[in-house]
Amino acid sequence: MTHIFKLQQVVKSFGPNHVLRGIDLDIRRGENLVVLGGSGTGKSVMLKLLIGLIQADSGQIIFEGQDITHLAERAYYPIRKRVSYLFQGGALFDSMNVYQNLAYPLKEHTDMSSPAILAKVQDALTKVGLKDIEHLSPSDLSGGMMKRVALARAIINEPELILYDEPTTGLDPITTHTINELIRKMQSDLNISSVIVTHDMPTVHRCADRLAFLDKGVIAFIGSLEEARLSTHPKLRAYFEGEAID
Amino acid sequence: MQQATLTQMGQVVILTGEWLSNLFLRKPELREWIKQFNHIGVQSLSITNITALFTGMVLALQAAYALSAFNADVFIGDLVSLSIVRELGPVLTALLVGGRVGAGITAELGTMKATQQLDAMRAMATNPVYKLVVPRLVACVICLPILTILANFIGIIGGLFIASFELQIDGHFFMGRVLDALSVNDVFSGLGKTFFFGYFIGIIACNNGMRVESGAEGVGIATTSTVVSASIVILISDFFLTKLFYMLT
Ligand SMILES: Nc1ncnc2c1ncn2[C@@H]1O[C@H](COP(=O)(O)OP(=O)(O)OP(=O)(O)O)[C@@H](O)[C@H]1O
Ligand SMILES: [Mg+2]
Repeated sequence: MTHIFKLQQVVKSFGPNHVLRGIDLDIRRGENLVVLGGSGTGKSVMLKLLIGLIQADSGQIIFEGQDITHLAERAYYPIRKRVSYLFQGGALFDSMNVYQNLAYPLKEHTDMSSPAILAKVQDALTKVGLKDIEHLSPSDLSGGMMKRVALARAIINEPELILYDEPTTGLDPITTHTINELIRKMQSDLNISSVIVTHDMPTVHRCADRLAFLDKGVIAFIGSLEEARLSTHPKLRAYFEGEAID
Repeated sequence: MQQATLTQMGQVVILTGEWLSNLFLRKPELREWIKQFNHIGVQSLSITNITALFTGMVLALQAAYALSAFNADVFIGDLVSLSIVRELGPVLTALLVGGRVGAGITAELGTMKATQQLDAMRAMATNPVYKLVVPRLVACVICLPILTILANFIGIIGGLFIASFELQIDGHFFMGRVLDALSVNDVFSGLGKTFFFGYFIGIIACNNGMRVESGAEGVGIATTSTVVSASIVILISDFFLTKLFYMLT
C-alpha cells in the first residue's frame, strides 16, 4: 500500500504549550485511519499541519514522496484541492446560504455550469441525509445539520483524502450511522481514504482500518482495530472498556 | 505598546503587498466588489451627508459671529467653503467612515477568523486576501473620495442655507464668494488626502480583523482598536498630507 502522507518526528508548540512532541505516522492510500486522543492533545493541530494551515516547528511532513513541511502558501493549493478538511466546528461561511457554501469549491476550481453545480450540491446533501435546505443560511441550521452541511462541502469535489475532525460528535445515533456508512461507502465506491478524528466508538468500529492513539504529544499506539482491543495502554483501554460498561 | 505598534505596521506593509499583487495580477471579482461598494459607499451616504450638512450650517453661523466683529461678513462664503473643501469635508467623512465601515469590516473578518472561516477558505485552496481584503479595500479607497465630494457639496449648501435664511445674505452673492475663494488646488488637496484615508481605514480594519486570535472578546478588542487606530492615523496623516500637498502646489 502506498503512502499519501508520512509524518516524521513532527513537533509543534504554541509558546510554552508543547502540543506535538514528535509524531511519526503514515497515512496510506485506500485506508481509513481513525485517530483517538483526549481533548486538547493536538488532534486538530495534527490535521491542520497536514495541509499546511499551520506549520510544524521541526520534523518532516511528506506528501507523496515530496517534503511539504515548509512551503509557501500557494504551494499548498494543489494538495488542498486533493485533500478535503472537515473542520471541527464546521466553519461554514455565514454570509452565504447552504447552496453557496457547497458550490464554493466547485465554482472556484471547476468550470461546471450552474445546473451541474446545483445537481452536485443536491447530491451531496442527499448523501449526508439532508434535502431542500439549499436556500437556508447557516444560522438557520441546527448544530447537527451544520455539521452535515460542512461534511457535504468536504466531499463535494470528490477528493482523494478527507480529513474529518469529529464528523459525528453531537449527532443522534441514526445520523451517526448514516455518516459512518457514508465514510465507508466513499472508500469502497470512490476509493477515497479518510483520516477520522473522533471520540465516537461506533464510528471507530464501523470505519477504522487502523487506529492511532495520540497521547502526550506522541502516537502512543498505532495498529489495527484488533490490536487496539488487546492493547495494554491504560488510556486506550479506557476507550474500549468505557464502552463495555455502557 | 510601541512594539505592538511596530508589529502592526509590519503586518500592514505585508498585507498591502499581498493586496496589491492580488489586485493587479488576478481577475477582479466584480460581483463582490459591487456588494462592497454598496456596503461601504452607498450605505455611508446618509451619515456622511447629514454630518456635512450640519457642519456647513454651523460653520456659517460661527463665521457670521466671528467675522461680524470685523465687519467682514462678506467673507462668510470664503470661510465656509475653504474650511469644508480643504479640511472638514475630507477629515470628517474619513472619521465617520472609519468608525462605521472600519468597525464593520473588522467585526466581520474577525468573526470569520474566530470561527475558522478564513482557514476554511485556505483549506479549499482559496486566498482570503483575494476573496475578502481586495474588494473591501478597493471599495474604501474609491468610495471615500466620492463620499467626500458629495459631503463638500452638501456642506456648502448647508452654509448657503444659513447664510440666506438666517443671515440675510444674498444667495447669489454667497455662491459667488464660494466659487471665487475655491481654487482647483484647494479641491485637489482636499480630495487627494481622501485616497490615503480610505486606504488607511481599509487596511487597518482588514488587518485587525484577520489577526483576531480568539472568540467574541477578541473581536470586540480588535473592533475598538480599529476605530481608535484609524481615527488617530487619519488625524495625524492629515497634518502631514496637508503639508505635502501644500509643498507640491
Ligand atoms: N492556533 C493556536 N494557537 C495557540 N494554541 C493553539 C492553537 N491551536 C491549538 N492550540 C492549542 O493546542 C492544543 C491542542 O489543540 P487541538 O485543537 O489540536 O486539540 P484536540 O486534540 O483537537 O482537542 P479536542 O478533542 O477538544 O478537539 C490546545 O492546548 C490548544 O490550546
Ligand atoms: Mg479538535
